[in-house]
Amino acid sequence: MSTAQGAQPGDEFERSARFWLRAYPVRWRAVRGDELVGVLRDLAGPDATRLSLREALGLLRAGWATRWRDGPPLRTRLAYRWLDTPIPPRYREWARDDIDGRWFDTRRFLRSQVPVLVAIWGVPVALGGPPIAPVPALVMCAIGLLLSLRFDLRRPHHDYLRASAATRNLLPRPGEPTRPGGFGRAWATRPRLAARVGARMACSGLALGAAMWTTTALVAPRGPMFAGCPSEPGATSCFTMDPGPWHPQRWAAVAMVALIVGSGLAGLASRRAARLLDDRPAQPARVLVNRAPRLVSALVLVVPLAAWQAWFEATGRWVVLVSPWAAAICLLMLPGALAAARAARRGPSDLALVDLWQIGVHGRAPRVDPWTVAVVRLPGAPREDAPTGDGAATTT
Amino acid sequence: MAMSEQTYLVLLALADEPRHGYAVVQEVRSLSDGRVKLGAGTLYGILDRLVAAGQAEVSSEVVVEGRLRRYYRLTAGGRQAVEAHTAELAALARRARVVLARPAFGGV
Repeated sequence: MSTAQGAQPGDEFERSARFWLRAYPVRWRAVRGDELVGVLRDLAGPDATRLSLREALGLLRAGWATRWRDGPPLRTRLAYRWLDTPIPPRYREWARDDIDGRWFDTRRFLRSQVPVLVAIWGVPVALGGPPIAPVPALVMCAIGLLLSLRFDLRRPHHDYLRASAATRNLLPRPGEPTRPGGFGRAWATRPRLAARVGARMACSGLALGAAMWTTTALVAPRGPMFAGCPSEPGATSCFTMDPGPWHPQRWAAVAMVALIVGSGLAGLASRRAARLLDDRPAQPARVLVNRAPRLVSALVLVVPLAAWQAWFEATGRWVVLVSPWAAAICLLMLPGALAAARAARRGPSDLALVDLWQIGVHGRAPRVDPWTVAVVRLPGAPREDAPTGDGAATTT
Repeated sequence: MAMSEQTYLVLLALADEPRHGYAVVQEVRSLSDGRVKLGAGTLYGILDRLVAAGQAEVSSEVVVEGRLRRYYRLTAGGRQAVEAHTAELAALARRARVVLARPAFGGV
């Protein structure tokens, strides 16, 4: 049987089998994956190039059943997932898989969104009213979900949430002895965003925001009009917001002030950078990271939402409320970001964004980053345990 | 402990000698006269549970033509369980034969 691009039938079959094998927990695959692929190949015959549908569905069902058997009981699982309750020691390996897993950020994000959805949908509807701003809220949720997916696929090993979850769940509890092959603490370097990448992305975001929201603030037809409530018995303070005329000239004056103040602060920061950049200490506990792909992804996902909101305000569908403030903030910060980008471009390549922040905002030389504590696997006998029926480790 | 037919057949397949996964599937098919065709997912779900329950264990690993083959065998507990279940089935079969040998009265 001919196969695409000269691939052998066995290779193609193995790819197919391993794809469906992903239904099983990571640890299970590490121990039994090769063995199961061999059995699948024997069952399928030498000419098979992919898993049969029946076998694939069987793997899916069995893999998810193994995942469920391997994990803690529902109550423990819910407490771990929703209340951040430390997982019992016997389920640490399961928690390790969960924390290192590809979808950890997405699971965290979905957890955080349930209270939001309850607030905008559940409570108002339960009280007999309409949901609060359902479309923007759902769009925000969708964008957050996409961001979490994007971030997950980049596997950020130094992610704060993962690190804190690992510390909380994997380390031995007070009084509990450490064991070979278990988990312990180790000193680790601290990731810092490279100044060149960070400053460039900040400039891009702020410039985009300033252009978009300034245009909106200048062309918007309707502004908010606040008025006191005419006759509210017993009310101590009350106002209403209605559509009213918008005065772009007045806003332009405010924007100009923001730009001038921002430029002044940027000039001050530039002078500080010229004076203090050479006083940087060595940073043995630091590792510079380039998060440009993630930042670009964030921009690509967030800009359409902001553009959508600006478009509604610019065309008068909404009263102009967010754009003037957002534009003023962007205009205030943009000169500083430009100054930071210039300093980063001219400065040393190992400069971190936090260095520029400490110099420009606090006016002091950058501090030495302390070593951080990371959760690591302790040396010892390698664990060769696959998940089993009761979730306990069983040496095979 | 209630034992499914598939679990019983896997235990039986391991009763006479250690077998690897594919051999267990073949033996189960033979023991059931071709009626039970275990999928790999089902087989390893059963093996996981048997190992966790202490009724089966890994006896050895060999690599044949680049494929890892792990052999499983029954433990003493597993043999006890399969013998007990076989005795139950035999007793049930005896009772069934007695019931079926009686003349049927008032049946449809």
